[in-house]
Amino acid sequence: MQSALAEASRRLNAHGQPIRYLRSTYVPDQGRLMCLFEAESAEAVRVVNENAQAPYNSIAVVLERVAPQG
Amino acid sequence: MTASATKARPHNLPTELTSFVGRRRELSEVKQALATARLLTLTGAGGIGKTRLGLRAAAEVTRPFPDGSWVVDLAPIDDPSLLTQAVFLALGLHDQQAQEWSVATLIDYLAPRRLLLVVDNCEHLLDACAVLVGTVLRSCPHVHILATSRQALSVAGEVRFAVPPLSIPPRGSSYSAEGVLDSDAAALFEERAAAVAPGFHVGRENAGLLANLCQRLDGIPLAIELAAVRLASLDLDQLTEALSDQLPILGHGDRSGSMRQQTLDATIDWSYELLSEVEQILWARLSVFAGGFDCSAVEQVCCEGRVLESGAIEVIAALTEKSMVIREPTNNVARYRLLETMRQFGRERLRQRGEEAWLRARHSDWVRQLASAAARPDAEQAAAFDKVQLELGNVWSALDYLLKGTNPERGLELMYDLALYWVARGPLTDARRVIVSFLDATHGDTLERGKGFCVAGQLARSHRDEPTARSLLEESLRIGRHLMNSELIGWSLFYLAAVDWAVPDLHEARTKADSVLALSDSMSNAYLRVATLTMLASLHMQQGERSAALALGEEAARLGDHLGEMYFRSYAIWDLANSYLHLGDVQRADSLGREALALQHRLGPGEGLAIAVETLAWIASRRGEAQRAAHLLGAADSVYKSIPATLLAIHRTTHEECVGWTRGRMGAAGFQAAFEDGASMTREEIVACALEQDARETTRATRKQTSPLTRRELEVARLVAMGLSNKQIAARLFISERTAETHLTNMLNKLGLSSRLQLAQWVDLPRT
Repeated sequence: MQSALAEASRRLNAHGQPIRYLRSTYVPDQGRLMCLFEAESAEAVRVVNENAQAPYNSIAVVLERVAPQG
Repeated sequence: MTASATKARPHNLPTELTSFVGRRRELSEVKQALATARLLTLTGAGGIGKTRLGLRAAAEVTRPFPDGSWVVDLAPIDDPSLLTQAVFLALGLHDQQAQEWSVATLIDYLAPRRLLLVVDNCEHLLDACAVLVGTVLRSCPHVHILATSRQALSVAGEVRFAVPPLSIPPRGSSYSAEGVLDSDAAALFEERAAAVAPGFHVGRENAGLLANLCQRLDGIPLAIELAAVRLASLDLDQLTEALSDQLPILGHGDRSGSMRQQTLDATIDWSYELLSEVEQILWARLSVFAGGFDCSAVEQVCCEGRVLESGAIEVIAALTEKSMVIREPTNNVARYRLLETMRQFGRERLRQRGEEAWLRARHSDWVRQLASAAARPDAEQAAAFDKVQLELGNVWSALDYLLKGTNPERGLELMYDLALYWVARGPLTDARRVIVSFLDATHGDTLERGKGFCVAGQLARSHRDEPTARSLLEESLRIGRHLMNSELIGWSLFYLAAVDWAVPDLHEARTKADSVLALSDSMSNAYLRVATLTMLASLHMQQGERSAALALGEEAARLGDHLGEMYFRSYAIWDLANSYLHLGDVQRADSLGREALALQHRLGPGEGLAIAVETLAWIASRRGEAQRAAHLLGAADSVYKSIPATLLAIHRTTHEECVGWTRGRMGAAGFQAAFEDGASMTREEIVACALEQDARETTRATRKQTSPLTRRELEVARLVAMGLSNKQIAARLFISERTAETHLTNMLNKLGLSSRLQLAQWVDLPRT
């Protein structure tokens, strides 16, 4: 499915909608998969998932902070 | 037709209703490319014949694809998320893959197979198509794909073939009949014209006219067909004159793609203008249907004002003759559709008339009626399921309309009515997605939302997603109590009990079931009572109260039979089979088990079928029939996997005992082989095996025919229906062309018909 999401993002990008598929995190115990995208809108993320035939439960905006080194 | 001893190659390629003319060079190029290229995309404007060419090539290139050639028509689909579901349906997997229709399952299915997938009309779902095609190509090394689309897919490794227009007679000052007929465009025109005007011949007098016409129409097959069928009422002079007014002056040299599109649009427009007013109105209204329609649908949706119900069938026949509507080859009720290019045009006209909104509302009302028929727990329910499945394209379209409109609550009701259909036949994932969208689009504690939560909970439970199911059903219960609606309360509690049972928390399930039973009595709701009695019978059995279990099962089966209901009744009968098995009355268990299986088969490939097959396996082992037991164990396993679901925890012990005994009897290797044999059977084969019937008996009964035609005439008629020309028929039957023509004329006279097309339609009609 990763390659499908990557391909779908690439295509949407080519159409002029900036979006990047970053990575996926899978939690085996809970059976949850979270896919992270960098995009301008939730709508773009929705389109990419539809085109990749990847069913999703919800799309949410997240904030990430990387732990400082040292 | 040659008889063959080998198993026929599976496919779903449609029979051609009209002959395939010309295109010799293109066909040979496409066929060559098909065998080598993994992805071949036929591109070109609408009406240029991409689909025809693709299907023809697919029908002829069979050797590299022993697992068959399968076509998916994407035209009726608007929502890219429904793409995978469409592929599943086209591959005929809806019989085996009940609810889990994901890309992963599709890939698993396709990976070992050598087949050709024809994906038709991709342009409006281009990105989703491209991603899916790319995934399939990467993971399924022996699958080839032929796509048709206005634009290429832009997938790595794609081979593109731009379909040119048909060859036209070169511009010149004089034309001979043979010279003109050498061109594919003229040959097509002659074929189609001769079908509606049997006396039409191309000779010296009209060769020039025909050449001009073909040039004017740019060799576009659809335009040529639309013009040719007009010869039923116009002659070639009048036709040419009418078209000249309509089309721009011919330029020199090749015309560009957009100019061809203009020609096509102009031809469709002209063909439309030639229709009578009633025909125009009805034709535009037909564009509301997604995935085709039949006459009764037209009567319910499109008849209003100028278009009367009593005349609808004649108008449709007339539109079919003029190639504005296509008849689809079916075995029973006639189905029709609009070619996608024309459907767009029809929608435009509809909008201009201001009828679109009103018509879509009517369309969704019709779909809602189909759904409520599917919700009625009576003897017609399975037939109603069949109808819904046939009209699935229209169902999705109506749901889409309701979701985006002012009355999304109606969508909730529609989904609720279809609850049992989704459970029995899927696609579960898409149904769950849609119900969630509807719940998101509505608010408040309304009855509709309560129903929405209830069906959402049911679907989650079927998917074995117990925690989600529980929270959804508790919400529907809460709303039910708030509104004091006993039906909602009853069903919510019932399905919550089912969730408890799956955990398994038998004590809690029983408590709930008992209170639902009391509730159903106070409501005098027989349907709910049947369901609850069935569940209680199972619960009593599980808790060792055998005689009570039997009594409850018998009552449930009797009541269900009285209602004519099938779903819960089949479970009740299964309950009894299971009980008798544990009591040692194997004979009775066997006959009841088969009865339950037959009922479940009628409904769909869901969990009910799986457990019925599994139980028959247990029974077989008790009767000492090891081979049969192993087969059925494998078959049950495959049905469960397709849902996907697993055997309920409470059945584990019996299952293990059965496996142990059978393996002991057959040895590990023998057991494994028989198990895998069973696991690879199709649903029809599984049922035939379980019921020990000849598989051919389970297919539709042959029609009794009392025909006014002689045997020879019937042979000719069938070949006409297959789209062969008189010349080809004569060659096939080893008679002269003149004799073939005579047969044809005689038949048309006997039957009171006036064209080959009508004869073809007559051949397809079922006789009573």
